[in-house]
Amino acid sequence: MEAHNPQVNTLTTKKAKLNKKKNMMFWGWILIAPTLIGLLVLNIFPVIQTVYLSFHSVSTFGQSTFIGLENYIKMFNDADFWQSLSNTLLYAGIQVPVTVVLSTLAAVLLNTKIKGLSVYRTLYFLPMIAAPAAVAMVWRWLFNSQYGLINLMIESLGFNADIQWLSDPSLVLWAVIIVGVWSSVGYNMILLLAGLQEISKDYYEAATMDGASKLRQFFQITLPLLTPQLFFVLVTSIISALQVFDVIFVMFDVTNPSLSSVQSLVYVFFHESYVLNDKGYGSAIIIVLVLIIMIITVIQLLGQKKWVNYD
Amino acid sequence: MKSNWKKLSLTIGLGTALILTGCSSDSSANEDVTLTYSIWDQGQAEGMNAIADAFEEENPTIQVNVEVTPWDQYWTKLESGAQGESLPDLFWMHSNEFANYSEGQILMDVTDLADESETLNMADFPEELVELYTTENDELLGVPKDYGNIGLWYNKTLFDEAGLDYPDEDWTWDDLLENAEILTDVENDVYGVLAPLNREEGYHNFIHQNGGYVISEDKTTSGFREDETVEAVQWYADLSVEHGVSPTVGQFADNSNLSFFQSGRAAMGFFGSWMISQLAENEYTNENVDVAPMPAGTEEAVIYNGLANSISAFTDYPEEARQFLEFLSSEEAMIIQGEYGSAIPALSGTDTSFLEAYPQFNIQAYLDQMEYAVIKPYSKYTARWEDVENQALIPVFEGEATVEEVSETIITGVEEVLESEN
Repeated sequence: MEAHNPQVNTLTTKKAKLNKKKNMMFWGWILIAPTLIGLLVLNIFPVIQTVYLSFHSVSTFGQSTFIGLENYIKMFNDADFWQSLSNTLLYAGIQVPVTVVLSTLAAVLLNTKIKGLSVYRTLYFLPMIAAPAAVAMVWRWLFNSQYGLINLMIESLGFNADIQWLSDPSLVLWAVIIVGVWSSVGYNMILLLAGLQEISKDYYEAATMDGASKLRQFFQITLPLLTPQLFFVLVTSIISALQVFDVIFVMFDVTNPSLSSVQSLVYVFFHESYVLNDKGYGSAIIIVLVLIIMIITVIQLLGQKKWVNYD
Repeated sequence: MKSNWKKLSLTIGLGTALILTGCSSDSSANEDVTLTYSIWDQGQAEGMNAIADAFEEENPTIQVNVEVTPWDQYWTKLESGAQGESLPDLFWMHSNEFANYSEGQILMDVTDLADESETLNMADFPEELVELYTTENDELLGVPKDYGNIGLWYNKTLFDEAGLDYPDEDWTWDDLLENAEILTDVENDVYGVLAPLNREEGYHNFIHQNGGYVISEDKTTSGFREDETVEAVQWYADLSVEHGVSPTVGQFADNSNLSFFQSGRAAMGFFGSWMISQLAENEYTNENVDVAPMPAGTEEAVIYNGLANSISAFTDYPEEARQFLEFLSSEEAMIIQGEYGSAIPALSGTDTSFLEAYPQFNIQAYLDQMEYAVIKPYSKYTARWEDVENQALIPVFEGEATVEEVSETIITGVEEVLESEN
């Protein structure tokens, strides 16, 4: 029997280890509980409910009848849906690259030693703390074709300034893109700036010794070492660009003839769900957006191995 | 570096969770009762607060908080409140939304209040409004608060400069167009009349003035089947499209009809009685404009509508809420409402109190028009068929189609919605 003792010993130590592990697990769960509960109640549950609603015809207060794929069939035959899908993709396709390039540029410039650095950083970050609805309202005035500052400025430069920012179907999306870029450059710049400051100065010193130009240093050192932040910025920017809504909602009235050239998927979702009170159809539209965002994000996560440098 | 970014996201997540869990409401049991009364018009907040104060004076144990939420968010907020059964105790109800709320059984039936009360008698309110807030089963789910219709506002200064007589009760469509043509001065960016793509303050009035209708009385067919309706809408759209006496739909995308009128760039415009306070607050319009009845087509007509005060079915203080509703509908409160210029009181005999609030304008025009006023068209899904009309008429107001060409689309779309209501 004594011969078995070592085994018992290892068993008890194993048990102790297991206990310790269990204990760790317990505290682990406790610590993430607030986030987890919040996520379940505020995100996961509504997602499931939205999927459920998208297969139903829903009256305003609760009662819903199962109608199978009818909402989805209606959607695929709805010209408004396709138009808003293409508006949304076009918006994201232009707004995101412009934002990322401009915020990288701003971050690099603000990472140097110039006078009033913190003033500039604050200025760039300001759009982030302004309420989106207020921002859109101010831009609506700026874009006014007769009294707006933008057209007045263009006119003072000697150009023909009769630009219908808010009613010309070929321009309205650009108006929204301008506001979108303006309001997100600051936030992304701060994230990138944080990344830039983590890059060791030694690399640059060594590169300078070797005679590399500033431009070459930027492409060979700064960019590769900034990729984790760039990746983060890219993922979040695409997600938020695909969800564009408030600017459109505030800048364009329902009687605006060019609304159809600018309305996004979220706008159509809002209009169907809350103005026309057709929650089932609205849910179907938003599910499509969720799928699109999910697919794009998964592709990005898989693709990151190809270009993102961690360390 | 990677772990830093993970930490960052963890912090953000935890932070959010903390903030969210930090929001909890406390309902302390107090002897004093506090009622919440939710409204959507900031312009009426002063009057509603005055009514609440008068009520509190008579009932010292009851407090009333008036809560203003702008129209755009009002219904979203109310709806989510209703789903969580945490609504304000009393709130304004509108004809566009009433059907949803009555069907969802969100509103308290106050039929017995009207039966038992000594002061409240439903016969003292406009009949169509009472009918509007009464269900098929004869449950009264709201007491009319006010009524409002549309007036023809004109810029006295522009009329004087052109040497023209002001609009009066004898005006017809022809007078409107003739004067608008003289008053239009495109070079100086001044328009004779403002005719935006707008239903209640726009072409719906003209449909009825031409003997047409918007939806049939049994709420099954669209009025666009009738020539009178099509003709009237075309006439209205032509003010901007054909005659150029009104800004185009594109111009209205930049500037609302109100801002055209307030900057003295339009001689005439159609505004609901709920806009009076804004016109009085603006220095320019307060001095330079006045109001007349709507012009007549083949007949006289104007669209009117009215709000109701409703009680939530989930209120914790049903007795107190009913007390306040009774007070809101009393002569005293109605006169306060009128004197503060909030809205034209719905209780018969008290509407003249509204005249005192704006002695500078000929408000009597609104009151006189009630003689031939038509209730704003409504059905269960009003917002849905209104959207169909709006979408279909955009090309008409852009001058790319005629009303006749789009009427088929409107008829099909509207009747599809009406059919889905049953």
